[in-house]
Amino acid sequence: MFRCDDLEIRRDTFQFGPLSAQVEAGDIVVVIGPNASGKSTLLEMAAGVLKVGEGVVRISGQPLGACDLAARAALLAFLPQQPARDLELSVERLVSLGRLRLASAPAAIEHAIEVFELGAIRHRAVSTLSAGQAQRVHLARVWAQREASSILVLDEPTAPLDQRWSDQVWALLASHARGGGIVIVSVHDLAVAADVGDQAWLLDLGKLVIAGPVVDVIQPDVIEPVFGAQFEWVVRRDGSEWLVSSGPSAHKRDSVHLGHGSR
Amino acid sequence: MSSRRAHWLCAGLLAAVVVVAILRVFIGRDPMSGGLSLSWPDVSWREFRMTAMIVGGLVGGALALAGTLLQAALRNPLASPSILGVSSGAGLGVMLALYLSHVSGVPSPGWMFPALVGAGCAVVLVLLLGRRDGWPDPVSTILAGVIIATMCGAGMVLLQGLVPEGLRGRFLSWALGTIPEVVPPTALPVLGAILACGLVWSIRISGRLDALLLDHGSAVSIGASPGSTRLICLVVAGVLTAVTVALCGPIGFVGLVSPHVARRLVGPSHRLLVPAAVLCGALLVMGADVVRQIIDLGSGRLPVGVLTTLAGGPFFLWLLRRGGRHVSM
Repeated sequence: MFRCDDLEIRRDTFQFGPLSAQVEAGDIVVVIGPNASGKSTLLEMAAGVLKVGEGVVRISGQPLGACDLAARAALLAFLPQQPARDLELSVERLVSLGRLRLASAPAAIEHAIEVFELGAIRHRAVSTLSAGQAQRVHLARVWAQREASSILVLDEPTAPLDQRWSDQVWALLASHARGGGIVIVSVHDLAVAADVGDQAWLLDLGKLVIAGPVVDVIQPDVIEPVFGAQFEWVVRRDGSEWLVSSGPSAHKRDSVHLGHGSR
Repeated sequence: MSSRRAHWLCAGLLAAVVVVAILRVFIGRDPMSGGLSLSWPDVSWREFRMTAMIVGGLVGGALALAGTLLQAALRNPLASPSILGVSSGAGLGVMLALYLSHVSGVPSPGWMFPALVGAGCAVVLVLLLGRRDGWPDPVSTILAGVIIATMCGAGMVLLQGLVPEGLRGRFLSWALGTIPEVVPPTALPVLGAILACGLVWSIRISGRLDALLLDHGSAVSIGASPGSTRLICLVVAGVLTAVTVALCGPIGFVGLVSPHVARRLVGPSHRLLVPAAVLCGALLVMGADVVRQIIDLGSGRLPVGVLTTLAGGPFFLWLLRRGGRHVSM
């Protein structure tokens, strides 16, 4: 179980929290909210990258801050919103850094390279790759670091990825959660969030508006006041429901998502 | 980069270092004709040339190691030992000691001690000023380093005006970097031990050095503890530089260029980069000292730092033009 209590940051321009939330093993939590609502801040604090002030992050009851580096790396893997791309390190080296503090596991590294189809570019410098390729390399690093029960904290992991790789990543994250892990992930696209999440944390202005099952949180009447946009459910050709914004940009979003295929 | 090729390149560098070391001992002035001679020196010269050879190798290696650590710790390909304000701090320390001994009439304690104190103060100041959330921040550290270096430089010029010319002695040639042929008996073992410890430690934490190149979030996630690693790297680089500056003065460009050359040869991963950079640094300084020996034939007036800068500067520009992305990290 992952649990955070009283996470809080006060700055001149921004006040975050206090925020408490928890999630059970086996779940994917989607963190949603408008721009500057504190999604990345929350994820960085949950991952122990940002100091949490008085608050505390606990994994199975154990405070994250009290773990040694190896235990920490095994318990939780974090992917920031914009991981470094200007790296001369090779793809293979970056992926293998996932095991820096953990027992050497060439099989895990090879598996990650295979899953993210990096075999052909394994000796290239990360700086020579496209944004999408580089994101796959960083995801592969997380995958190499991951243990079955790890908590994966990912900040918009699919933003630079094409449709096929987005679908692939969501499928991998779902399989990780089903295997007894936890995934905490921020998502911009509410339709995708509704599709992939089990739980949802809705943030606004640095506060947690509501946390609960996705089916309760991602509903037009809950999210409309927060996002200041109109939403509705449309029925797709395969009969599944898909959330679209029904504002002026609805037509464009529609056409993109209707070609999405069912999951 | 295949690791087999990289290992061979390291072996090649080591062989080149040995060749240059031998040249440094063999090249000298023929006492009869006054021209260039290439022979095993007789006993009166041997110790001087051996000392200069060893000092050159150790100092070059130490500067290159410091540069490698700084470029990783500050995530900046232009970082070099001069960025911590070490050289200017040492220079100011020396000038201050000369000035105080001039005013008080107490004999100056030599150059090494004031240089060490000045360098140490500069490093501590830069580290304190460059902190964010308790750990060194790359950008703040670089800014603090530039400011401290400039201020120390101004102080140095001010004191130069106050100390009579005769007392300054060969300060100018020290300030450009020279390889001494006579050193205090403890200097070589101390420098050798510091370089050896720094080298072994850097290779041992090479994974964490690689991780320093990542963004903060990823580095924390894999357990690289970037804050403390960065601080230790800066301290180790500061110690390495302070000792070399105290001994030889600031020798330009070695700490900047050597890591780049090594990166071109063996790639950016620190497990091989660290030893390769140390070998490159030793090669560069000893090679420059050999060239100096040929040019001024043992009169010892030409500061070797002039040669490393004259050779290193254009070479770095060439790398920049040719390498394109490779000069970035």
